[in-house]
Amino acid sequence: MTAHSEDITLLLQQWSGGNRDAESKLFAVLMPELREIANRSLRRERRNHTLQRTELVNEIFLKLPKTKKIDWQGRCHFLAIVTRMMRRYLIDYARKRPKAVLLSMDGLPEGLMAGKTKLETAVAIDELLDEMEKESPRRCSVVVLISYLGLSPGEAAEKLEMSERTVEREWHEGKKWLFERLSKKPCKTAQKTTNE
Amino acid sequence: MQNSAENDERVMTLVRAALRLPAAERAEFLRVACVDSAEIRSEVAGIVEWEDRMGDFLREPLIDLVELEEPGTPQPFFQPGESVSDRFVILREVGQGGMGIVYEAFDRKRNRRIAIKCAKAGFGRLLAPELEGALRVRHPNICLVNDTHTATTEAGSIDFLTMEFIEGETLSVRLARQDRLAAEEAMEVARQLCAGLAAAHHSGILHRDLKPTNIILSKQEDGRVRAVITDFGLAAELQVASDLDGGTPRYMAPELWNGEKPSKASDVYALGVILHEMVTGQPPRSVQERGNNAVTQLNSLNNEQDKRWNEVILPCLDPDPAMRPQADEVLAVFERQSWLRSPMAAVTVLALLVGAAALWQPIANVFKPADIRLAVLPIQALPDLREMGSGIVQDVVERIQRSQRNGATLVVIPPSEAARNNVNDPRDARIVLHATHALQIELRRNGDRVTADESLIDLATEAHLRDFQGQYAATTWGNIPTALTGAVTSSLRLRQTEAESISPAATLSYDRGLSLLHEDRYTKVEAVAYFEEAARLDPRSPLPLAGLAEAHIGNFKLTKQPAELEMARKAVQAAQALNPDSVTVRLASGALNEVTGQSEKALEDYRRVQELEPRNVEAYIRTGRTYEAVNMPDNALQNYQKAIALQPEYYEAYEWLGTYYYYAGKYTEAAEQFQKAIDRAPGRSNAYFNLGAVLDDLNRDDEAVAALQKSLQLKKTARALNSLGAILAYQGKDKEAADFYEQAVELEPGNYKYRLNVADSYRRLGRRSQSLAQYREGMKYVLGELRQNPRLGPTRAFLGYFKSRLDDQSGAEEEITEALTLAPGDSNVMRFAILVHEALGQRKLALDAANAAPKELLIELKRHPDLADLSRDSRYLQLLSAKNGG
Repeated sequence: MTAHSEDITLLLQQWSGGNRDAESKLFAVLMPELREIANRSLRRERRNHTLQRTELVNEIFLKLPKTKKIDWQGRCHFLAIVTRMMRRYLIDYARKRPKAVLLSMDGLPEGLMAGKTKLETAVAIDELLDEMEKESPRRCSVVVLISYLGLSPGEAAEKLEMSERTVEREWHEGKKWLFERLSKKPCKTAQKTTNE
Repeated sequence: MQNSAENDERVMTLVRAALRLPAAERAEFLRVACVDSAEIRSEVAGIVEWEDRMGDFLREPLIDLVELEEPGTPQPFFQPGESVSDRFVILREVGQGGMGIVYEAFDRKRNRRIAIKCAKAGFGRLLAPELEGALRVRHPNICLVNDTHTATTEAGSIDFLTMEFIEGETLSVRLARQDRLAAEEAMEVARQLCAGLAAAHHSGILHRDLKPTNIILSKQEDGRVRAVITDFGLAAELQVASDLDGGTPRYMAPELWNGEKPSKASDVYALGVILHEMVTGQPPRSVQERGNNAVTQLNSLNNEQDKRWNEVILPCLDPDPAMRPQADEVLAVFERQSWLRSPMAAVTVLALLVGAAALWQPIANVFKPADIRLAVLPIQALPDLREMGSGIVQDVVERIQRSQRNGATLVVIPPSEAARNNVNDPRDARIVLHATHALQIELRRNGDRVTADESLIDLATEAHLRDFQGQYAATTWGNIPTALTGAVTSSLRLRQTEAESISPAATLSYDRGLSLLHEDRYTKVEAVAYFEEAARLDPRSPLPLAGLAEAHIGNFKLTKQPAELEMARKAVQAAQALNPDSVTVRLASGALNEVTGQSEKALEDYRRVQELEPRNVEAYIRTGRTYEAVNMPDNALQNYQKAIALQPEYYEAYEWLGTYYYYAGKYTEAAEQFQKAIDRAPGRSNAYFNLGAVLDDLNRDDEAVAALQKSLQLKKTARALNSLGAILAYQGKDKEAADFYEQAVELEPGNYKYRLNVADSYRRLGRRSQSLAQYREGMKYVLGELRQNPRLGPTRAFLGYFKSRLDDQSGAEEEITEALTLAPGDSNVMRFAILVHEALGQRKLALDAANAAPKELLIELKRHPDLADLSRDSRYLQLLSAKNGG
């Protein structure tokens, strides 16, 4: 079951406006999407993880009503928000099990990690993404889909209905943005490009 | 240059191309490629430079939850509760070996417990192909593989072996704990190992990797030891590498070092090493020295009598494989009369016959269970708490001394002795005091409270058997010794020292709470207030807190409010802080573990209750309930029957047994049990309700209505209202039915079953928007419940039904499939499987589901207002008559 982006935007808006009918339609349309996202989030996770896909979906499903006040800008925006919810949930989950869970961040330069645990770094990135979202929701969506769900730029492009190269560009800019902030010494050659 | 899709296209294509080139060639490439635009060139160059600098940053997904483990530890494959290959339900992980992981599981097809062994990644198939056909030998001292399976999971396919599940510990664990086996037990174990090995060799099967981790010491029904050799014939070359012990594969025969192939003789060599370790607690000297010299004497034999082991063990260890005896020759030595008539065994028999206490005393030492030498270390506390602390520790020492186990020797080494020997940590306790266990206690001030921390450490493994923490206000300081002792007695399975009690002032409130709790398990809100009052009046007794927990758990079952669960958890923790080894507290903790899906822990709680009070009916009932939850109906039934046998005049077990039959679709048997419950406790609304519900399912409408009215007369409950509604709805009177349902929903707004029913009636009455609203509301509560425990099959079935009515076809199908996997025999699951497929217009699937359902359910569903069409279908009628005939 797939639905056009416009339909979802419309449904989201109707739902925010209090339309109960929209709610059930919305969930019928979005459930498969949510499941797919959850699958992605847990795809790389080992089998002994006690968190289950359905649990994650249910968790998000239950939290969605709290997002009613959001001024939905469409499907891409919705995806980003939902993914962030899952991310939060996973991070909280990891926090509660400091011994059991580690976050694989092999690529992080030594300097970025100085004095921080991997979890702290993940939390720091998570917080930075909130800031990024304010600056550019689209870029944030790209970063979230690729870095949290492990989508390839091509797959992300399909989800976000953008061209693959544009996604690659946004991905580059997003990474750079995070890298600069994490290393806290912005490079002089860094040039800020915006796509809005 | 403006940013646009075209711009991105060009820039990023160039970036990709540039990044593929060696760094030195990039500048030239870009100069040529961007001859028309210096701007694009600098843009691309900037991105390339940054990509270089960032290296692997974020190349791997950011969230990658992985268990933090020692390198090389196998990853679990399955989770408890998971259903594998539609046949095995994983109950728990029982161990990890060098090459794989073992699970306890339930085989639905054969209806019994089994063990599942999965290969560690990279180990491929566990079983050498030529052996698969040969593994058909049956012998009590061999655990052979039943079968090989392949499960398809999200993580790929997993090969696993199924085998008999043997409860017990491995010989290696035993030897680590106990150093060596007592002579009599060693002899019996040795004889059985030889018997098992001889039987296998006789069938042409080699073990190839015999070692203490492959031997399980279990118990026979009469309590005697049963030694079982496992992992026969598994690919040995894989295992040898996993068992390097300080560079020496201890059990490997010398000829294997030279590259010879495993043989019966190399198995016998391994057997010899094992026997040596069992008897002396050490490996043979040849192994220690890594030499090929013949062993001429066993190490560290200090008992003259034990010298006769020489004649068995030494030949097995001969460096020349041709000189070693066959397994059955070794067995024959054990079975020789002269061996049996060893002086020790003769005395034993005599002692048993005569029963003379004087004779028995020294002999008993031969049989006694493992001794415990528990060193209580000096307390750790700041000066202001030290005096109180040493008094508490002394009290704990005395209490533990009073809790001697049957048969075992428990020596408690007091902190004064530890201090005299300058022993302050667990390691010294082992070395200096020869302790097997150590107890560390620490007291801290925490505002106006005192926090007590206690660790019980097994010194052989350095494992913390129990880390206990409790917080105490001034009013409950007196509980600290009880609590600290309780944590020890429960972990070491000692006898309890403290009778449960409550002060006279609090008794009245406590008893009121209890009677409410038992009177009617469906309205416990008032009980909470009484228990709280009792806890206030007697802050030192754990009983009111345990009652409070039970009441909150009851409320949770009723309302599904997570807050209730949270309060129950707090109450259990508070009760455990007062006395963690109290029967009542363990029952409450078990109940909490049950509702949160931690069945394994719940069973552990109830097992301890049975240990402390072997006639505790409640423990058996709850054990049964827990087994039902993990889909082990036979065990559930056994426990209910045990409860009834213990106390035939007590109503409760009948009620649970009735419920058990009810959910198994056996309505007639259920009605019988409910009637028995009513006969024994006639004033309970609940009992009439149960009877009414089951009579309704048996289509005995008039009797059902009478029973339900009686129930409502005793107490107006939502359930009874709901059931009356259901009878009317089945009679086609949806308008009247909706009336009763509405009252039920009003009484219990959180119950999704009532919402489902009222929604169905509204739907049939054409009140569409009201109907959808109730379906949606109901679904919310279902999801809430699944959040607490996602393993509830029947709840998943409800979710499936709600989805089907809310037009989520794929979601509905998925939930029904999951429900059928989680609880295939549950009648609610079967019912909804049929209803959902009908609602989705899938007649064929509905009939398939009906085919799996018991006759009673099909008869009942014939009258279901939404299944009128299905029940006229000739195929349905055929199905029904076939089931009637069978």
